[in-house]
Amino acid sequence: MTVAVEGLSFGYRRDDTIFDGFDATFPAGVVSGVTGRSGSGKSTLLYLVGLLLTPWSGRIRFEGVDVSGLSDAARSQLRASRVGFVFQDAALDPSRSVLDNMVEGAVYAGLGRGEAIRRAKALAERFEVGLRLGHKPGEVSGGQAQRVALCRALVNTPEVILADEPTGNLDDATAAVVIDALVEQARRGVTVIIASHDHEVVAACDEVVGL
Amino acid sequence: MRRLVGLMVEAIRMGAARPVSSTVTGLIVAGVCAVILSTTGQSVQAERQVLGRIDEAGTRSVIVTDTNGSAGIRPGAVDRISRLSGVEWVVGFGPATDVHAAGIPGGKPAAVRAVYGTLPPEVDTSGRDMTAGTVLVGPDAQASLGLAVSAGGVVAKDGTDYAVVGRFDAVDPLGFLNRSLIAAPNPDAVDPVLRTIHILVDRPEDVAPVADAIYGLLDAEDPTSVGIQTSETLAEIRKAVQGELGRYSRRLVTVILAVGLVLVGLNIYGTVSTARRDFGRRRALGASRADIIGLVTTQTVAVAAIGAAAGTAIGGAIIWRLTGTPPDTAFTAAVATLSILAAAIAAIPPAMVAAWRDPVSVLRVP
Repeated sequence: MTVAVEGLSFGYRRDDTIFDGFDATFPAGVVSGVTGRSGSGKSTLLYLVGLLLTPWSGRIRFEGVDVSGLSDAARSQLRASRVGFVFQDAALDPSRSVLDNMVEGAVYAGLGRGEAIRRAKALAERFEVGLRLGHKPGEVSGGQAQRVALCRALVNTPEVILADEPTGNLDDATAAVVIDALVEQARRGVTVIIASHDHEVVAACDEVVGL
Repeated sequence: MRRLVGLMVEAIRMGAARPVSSTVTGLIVAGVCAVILSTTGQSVQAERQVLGRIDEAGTRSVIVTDTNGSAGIRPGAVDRISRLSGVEWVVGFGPATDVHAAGIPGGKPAAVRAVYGTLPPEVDTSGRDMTAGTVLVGPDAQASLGLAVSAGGVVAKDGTDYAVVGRFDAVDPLGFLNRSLIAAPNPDAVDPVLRTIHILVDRPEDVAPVADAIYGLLDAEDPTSVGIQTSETLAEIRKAVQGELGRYSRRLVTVILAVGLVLVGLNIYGTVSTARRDFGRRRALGASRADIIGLVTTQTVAVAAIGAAAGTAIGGAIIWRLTGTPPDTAFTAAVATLSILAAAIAAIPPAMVAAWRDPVSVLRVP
């Protein structure tokens, strides 16, 4: 699914504009990198594309359809069923098991728990966290937690994956696993957008948008 | 539908994952239920008892009397009155005739009254059924007559004799019968008349309309000799007692519920304030604002239901211990439902705070 932003304007405060008429296109099947200095709006662009923020003006198009003006319920439904988020710090629920964390997003997408667990277990095996399903996030390493977050993002088979500094807290080997997984998703036709200032991550991207 | 069920299950799992907050909410709701039941519940019990006593005293009774014996009220009036709407039972009594125990010198006289209509449950009989020429004796009359057992014979001054075939015990509003004997109507009597008719209506508020309707149904030869006694004054007292106790109970329940509502609200607000990242993550994963409100509210209702069950059990046990009777089922169910409802209402403002909080500000890593 091609994602495009057209004439995007946004800022957290009226007197501090981050984007002013910004345009960009993120094609399906491509790993797009968003890079720039700190505060340039890398993460903000991801949150705008992920419909967690509403632009002041401009359009966000999913497969050509403007989705920026949808209601909160419709935007949330799109996010749940078509978008997967990967955050820098994994953002797992520390009080729930790894498996529960993996299937949490399935609830909002309306996916049955049984099917979600089946998918989560398959993904957990693939990303080598299958033995940690009953553990709490505090009992797994940072690299494992980020792979769990990746599994959570993939359970609903999203068409767009938004990764915000996904390797920021990882060692090189684990970072390579995460980046390889994201590249693999792109090869399957998923639109992958990675916000990062890590040169190695940017180097792995097919296209780069500089801010 | 599957999404809705999934959200409800998720809400319960969310509650289980926060044992401290859930326990506090449950304890507050349990406390509310227990306090209401053990305070207002007692008031309700007391109200029931006071009203019961007033009712025993005859708030629902109407008495028709032939004041000087010349009204000419015929037995057919009993059947006509029994068909009135709001009448629970009606029974008529003929003129009293003094009798003495046969063969027992020194015994005091007692009155025999013929009964017209079916004896109500307030008169508990034992022995054989009454037939013409037989009587049942009341406990006080039995003592007056000097009868050792409820058997034997009694004789009127005019020589009419009756066989005592059993006894009865009457309670109010027919308790006065205990001083007399009751007899089946004499089938050979010519043109029998009634001296009193006792009527019990379903509700105190039925007293006035039934009393008004009775005049037309008596078909008395001399209506000016008919007196009708009602218990409207007692009914007024009953209404006043009910209103006063009801007002006090409502005020107390409102105060306790309000305190519980505020405490639950503060607890939930504290929880959502410390779980900002949790709700931000849920929003990023696809939860809408309505989903967040639903999750918080459902979680609170689930925990409140457990608390209400525990609270009503504790409150019920306290009432049972203090009064010796179990709490009123409808009142207990109403208290539990109100407590859960109050908890649900208390959860909505903090749930809205959680739903409208900017998810990005809590998800970003500085």
